[in-house]
Amino acid sequence: MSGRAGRRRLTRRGAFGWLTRRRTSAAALAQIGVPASRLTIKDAAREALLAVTRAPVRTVLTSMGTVLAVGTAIATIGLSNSAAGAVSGTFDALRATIVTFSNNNRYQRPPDLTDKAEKPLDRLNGVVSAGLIWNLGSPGRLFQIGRTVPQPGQPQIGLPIIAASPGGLATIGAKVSTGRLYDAGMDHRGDQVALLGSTAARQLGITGVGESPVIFIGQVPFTVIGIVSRAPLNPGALLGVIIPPGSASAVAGPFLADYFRQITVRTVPGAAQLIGRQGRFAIDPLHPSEISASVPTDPSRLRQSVNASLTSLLLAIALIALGVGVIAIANTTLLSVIHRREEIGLRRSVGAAPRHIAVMVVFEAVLTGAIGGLMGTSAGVLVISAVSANHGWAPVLDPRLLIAAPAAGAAAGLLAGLYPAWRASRVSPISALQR
Amino acid sequence: MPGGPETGEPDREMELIDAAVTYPGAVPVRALRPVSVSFAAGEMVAVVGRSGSGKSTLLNVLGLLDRPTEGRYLVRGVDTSLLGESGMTSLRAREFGFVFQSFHLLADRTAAENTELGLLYRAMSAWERRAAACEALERVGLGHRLSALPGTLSGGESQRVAIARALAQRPRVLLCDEPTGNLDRRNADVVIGLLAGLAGEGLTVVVVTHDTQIADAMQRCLDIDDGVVTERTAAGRQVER
Repeated sequence: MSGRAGRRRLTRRGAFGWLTRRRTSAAALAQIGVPASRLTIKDAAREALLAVTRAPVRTVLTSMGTVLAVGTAIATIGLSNSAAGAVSGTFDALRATIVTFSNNNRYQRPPDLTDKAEKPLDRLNGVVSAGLIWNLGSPGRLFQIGRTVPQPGQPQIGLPIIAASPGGLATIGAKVSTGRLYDAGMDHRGDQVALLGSTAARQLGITGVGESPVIFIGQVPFTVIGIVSRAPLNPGALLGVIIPPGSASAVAGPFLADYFRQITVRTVPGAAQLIGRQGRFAIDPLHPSEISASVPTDPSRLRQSVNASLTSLLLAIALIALGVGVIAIANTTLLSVIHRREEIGLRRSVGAAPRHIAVMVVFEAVLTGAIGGLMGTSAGVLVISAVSANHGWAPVLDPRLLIAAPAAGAAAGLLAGLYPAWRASRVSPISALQR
Repeated sequence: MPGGPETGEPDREMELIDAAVTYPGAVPVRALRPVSVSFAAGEMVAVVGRSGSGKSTLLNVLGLLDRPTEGRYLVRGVDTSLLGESGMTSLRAREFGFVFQSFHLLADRTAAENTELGLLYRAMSAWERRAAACEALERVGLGHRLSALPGTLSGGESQRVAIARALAQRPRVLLCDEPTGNLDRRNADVVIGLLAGLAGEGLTVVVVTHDTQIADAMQRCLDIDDGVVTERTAAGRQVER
C-alpha cells in the first residue's frame, strides 16, 4: 500500500469514526434504556431569558458595548439626515427656486421682457411670483448719487441701481423698514420715486421718509418713498437704489436701460427646471429661442449627491461602531463564561451536553445584543430629538432603522457569542466543580 | 457483536476492572492504581482517605466525569469506553446524582429552580419539571422553601436542596463528595440519616468522607492511600482491591 493510499484510508476512517462511535454509543445506552440528553429550543430560550433578567447588572454591563455602538450609529445617521434635510431646505428656499430670463442676443431687438410677461409667467403651475429686476449698466457699474444737484465740491457717492417692477420687488421678497414700496401705477407713469437699500440709506444719511427726502442720480431727482431692510433673494439690493423700470430710461438712457433687462421668477421647490423650459414660451411664444433661461443646479441631484457621500461615510462609522460593539460583547461574554465556570460545570454534571452549553451562551449573547440594540436605539432617538430641537431642525429618521437597529444588536450578539460559546462548551465539569 | 456493548453481571450497578488513572505531564501522576471493585444496588459505601490520596479521582471515574486511562469501567454492564462524550453525558444524567461539599447551587435561582436544573436536559415540560422538583424537595423536608434563594438557606438546607436536585433526576446511584464537610454535627446527622433512608429505598450511595463516624455507619468502607484502594472486611482486615 502506498503512503498516499494509506493516508486516504485513515482519513476516511477518521471522518466517519465519530459516526460509528455515536451509533455504538446509542446502541449501548438503548440496551439499558438510557435516552440521549435533549434541550428544547423553548427551554434554551427560557434559560437565556432567566439568566439575562436575574442578573440585570451583568446584562447591562455586557450590553453596554452594543448600546454605545447602536446608539452612535442611530444618532449619527439620524443627525446627518436631519442636518442634510435642514441644509437642503435652506438651499431650496433661497437658491434653487430662482429662474432668470434674459435676452439671448443683445445686438438684436430686445424680446418682450416687460411687466406684461409677468402675468403669463404667473399663470404657470409652480411659479410663486415673477417680476422684472435687473442692474442698470454693466455689472459693477456705480452711479454718482447725492442729496443735492451735483456741484463742484459737493460729495457724491457711487451706488449701484436696480430697476425692479412691483412684481420684481415681490419676487426678491423686498420688505421696507420705513415708508412703502412703489406700485404699478407709479411705474407706468414713470414717477421718479426710489427705494433705498438700508446700507445705501445709511451712506446717504437718510433715516426716514417722513419729509420725502430727495436724492439725485446724476441730474435727475428721485423722491425716496421707502427704505428696504430685507431682500432675502437679492441681498445686493440693500447696497443700492431701487427704481421702477418706467423711470430707468431717465437715468441710463433708453438703450442702456433696456440692455440688461431680466425677468426673475421664484418657483416652488423642485419646479425650477420645468419653469426654465416653459417660461421662454410664456414670455414670447413666437420667439422663445431669443430668450435664455438661467436655471440653478437641480437641488434633488445635489441633495442626492450630498446624501450619498454622507450615507457612505456614516455607514462606515456605524459599521466600525458595530464592530466595536461585537468585540465588547464577545469580551464581556467571555469574561462571563470564565466567571460562570462553576455553573457550566454543574450543568455538564447534571446532563447538559457541550452543545447545550454552547446554545445557552449563544442565546444569552443574542438576547443581550438585542437588549443593547433596543437601549441604543432609544438613546440614539433621544440624542437626535434633543440636538434637532436645539438647532431648530426637523428630526429625520427612517422608521425601518428603528426595527433594523435592535436586529443588528441581536446579530452582533450572535456573532460575538460564537467564540465564548465554543469556549464554554469545552469547560470540563471536573475542573469547574473542584473549585 | 463486534464493537457492541459488553454486558457484565446484571446485579452489579457499577464495576471497575483493573481501572487506573494516570495524569500525563513531564512527570506522569498515578492518581489511581489498578483497582477492581464492584457496587451492588442499594449499597452504602464509604470512600475514606486523606487529602490527595485519590478519593476524588475515584469518584470522578465512578460518576463518568472522567475516564480511566487503563482497564475498564462497566455501568449496568455497559462498557463506558464504548461511549462518546454525548453518551457519557446521557448515562451520567440518568444513572448518577451528585452531591458536593460546597453545594454548587445557582445563586440567582430559587430552591425549586435549582432542583429542576438537571431535568431541563430531558425535554420535559415545565410543569412536569416543577412537579418533580417539588416532590424531591418534599422528600428532603424542604417542601416549604420552594421559592427560597440559596442566600437565605442555612448550610444544612442548602445541602438538602443539593440532594433534592440529585434525587429529582431519579438516579440509581448517588455520589457524594464530603457531603457533611461544611455542616455542623446536627446537620451532618440529618444529611447522613437522609442518605441512609435513600439507600434503604434501593439507591446505591457512595460517600467520600474524612469523617470516620460516617464511614463506620456505612455497609462497606474503601480506604485509599496514594491511589491504592483497599477494603475493610467485617473482621477489620484490609483487602487490596
